[in-house]
Amino acid sequence: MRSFKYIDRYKQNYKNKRIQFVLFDLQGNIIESCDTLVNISLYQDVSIFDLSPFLESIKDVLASLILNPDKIELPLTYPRLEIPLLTREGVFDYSFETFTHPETKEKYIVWIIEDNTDLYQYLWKVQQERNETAIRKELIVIQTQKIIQLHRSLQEKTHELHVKEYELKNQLVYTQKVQQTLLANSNKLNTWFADHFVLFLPKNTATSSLYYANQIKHNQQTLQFVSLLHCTASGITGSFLTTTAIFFLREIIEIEQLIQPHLVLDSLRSKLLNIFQIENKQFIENLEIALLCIDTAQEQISFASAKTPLWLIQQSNLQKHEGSNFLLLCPDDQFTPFEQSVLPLYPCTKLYLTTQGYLAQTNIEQLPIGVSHFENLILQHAEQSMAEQKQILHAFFEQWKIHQEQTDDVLVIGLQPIGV
Amino acid sequence: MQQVSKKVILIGNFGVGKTSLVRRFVYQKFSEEYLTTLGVKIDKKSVEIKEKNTIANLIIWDIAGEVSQTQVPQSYYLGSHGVIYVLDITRPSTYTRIQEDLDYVKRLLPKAPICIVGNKVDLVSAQDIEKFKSSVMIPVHFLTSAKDGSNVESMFLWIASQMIG
Ligand SMILES: Nc1nc2c(ncn2[C@@H]2O[C@H](COP(=O)(O)OP(=O)(O)OP(=O)(O)O)[C@@H](O)[C@H]2O)c(=O)[nH]1
Ligand SMILES: [Mg+2]
Repeated sequence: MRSFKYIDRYKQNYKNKRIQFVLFDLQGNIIESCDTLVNISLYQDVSIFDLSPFLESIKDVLASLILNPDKIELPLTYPRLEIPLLTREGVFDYSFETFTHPETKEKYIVWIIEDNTDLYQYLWKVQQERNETAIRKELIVIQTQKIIQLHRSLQEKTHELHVKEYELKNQLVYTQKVQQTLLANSNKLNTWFADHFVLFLPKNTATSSLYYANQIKHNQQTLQFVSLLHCTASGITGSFLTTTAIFFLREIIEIEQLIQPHLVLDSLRSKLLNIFQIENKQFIENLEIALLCIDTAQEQISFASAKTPLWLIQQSNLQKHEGSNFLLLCPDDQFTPFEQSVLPLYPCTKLYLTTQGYLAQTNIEQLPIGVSHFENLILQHAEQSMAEQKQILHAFFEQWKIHQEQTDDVLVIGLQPIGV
Repeated sequence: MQQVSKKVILIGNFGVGKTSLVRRFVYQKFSEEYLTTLGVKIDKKSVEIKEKNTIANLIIWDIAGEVSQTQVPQSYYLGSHGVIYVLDITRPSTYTRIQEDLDYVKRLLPKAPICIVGNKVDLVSAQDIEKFKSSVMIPVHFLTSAKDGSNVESMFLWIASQMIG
């Protein structure tokens, strides 16, 4: 092992191999470096302060360390620095001490660099998860309150004969903004599932069809939830109901950690009825919803729905699971709890959900696309990639609709949770 | 023109957009993805402060967000010439402790100018901004968006100019 004139005494005290000691003076001249991590010795002609913006920015502090040591609390340590050390990337801990030359009595700075990248990778994960959860929880609560307030004020306003145009516009834009933040971003779905597509063709600015997707950790299990919602009333009231329902879904799944789809739907129903104070009367706005809980480790899917079937393709076999045959906002006297299907999930199992918007689109002869066309399309092309399937479904839809107005919002989701 | 080197730190709760503000200012980039800062990241950028005939080499310390700034290692504060305290307009929890935090920072750095920034202004309505301002109670110097860039440059220029004195 190389021996050093001055820094050997420091090296002996440290067992950590990923540690480097550098001795320099206040002018930035490098006196000695063991170069365990990077070759700082190569830079003898350069001031160390020019090599590192970090050192440059604490020059005054280091000067105090030598000139006014009483003013600095020791040890002077800087943990978790996410700054490359010359060419070396990583997370480092720095500490500084002073060293007095045995003969000249001149004082130098000892810079102790520990590379703790591995240790911090774990810590980073913990911190990331802690922060994300706290932020998500806060935003869910705020947004839910806000949307409820908006819905209330909107309900009041519909009683007025002349709704001021600019207010409505503002609310439409807000709804659209909120809705955009709600839609799961495609990158995340890519990391959870082997393949997927979302065909989303809203008819208006504020849509009454939306989907929700998220991954949660529940007692060591990692579960993915996917839900597709559609409000039977269109326009701004429809979009408020769907948006509010998504906020509650997030609250139920992510905060209350209810993970059984049928129980989630029961709870969603009572929360919505409660908030909108709808008592046993005919609902003008109502919701169709499907909710999937996917457990890839246990190879299992749980599914519950209100008037929204799930199609499942396994080895060229198409199965349709109807779910419950009533709408979500069913009055108490007619309500029976939601049913749940638990289905096995094999590699290459493909799942499809759609709103009525796709199936009900009419052509020039006023004929709807209908279930059988949809089933044929997904079955025929099930072996193709999800992106290709999306294209095929979209092209078919456009062809069918040609010269006709779009009937309703269209939302179709295809998922292949596990790859080959 | 004279040149000076100034250390400025960004502090505030986690997720308020400190890293994003630096990224926007130094690299003119923005990402929607949230990757928390574990300790400190450091970036450098020079700005010209014409009225003071000075080029300020800003050494920007982007510090990991904490609920309370007393949890930040004290060494990070040492030698700072200026402080940017960032709030997230959309999250009240990021400004409930502002007074205690500012008192603490002023005790550690009595001479350093402090810039108070409400970030993510792109996400809120005019009404939300009014509500935010009234609940913060302390004058907010800038409302910024790291996403669309609004006020980011002027905020850094302002603190640079304050640090030069
Ligand atoms: N819409 C919007 N999003 C922003 C803005 N600034 C930051 N974000 C987002 O907010 C999240 C957090 O941003 P960061 O810059 O990592 O926050 P931070 O304060 O550095 O967080 P910590 O490092 O954990 O303390 C990211 O998802 C950013 O994309 C903004 O001005 N507008
Ligand atoms: Mg950060």
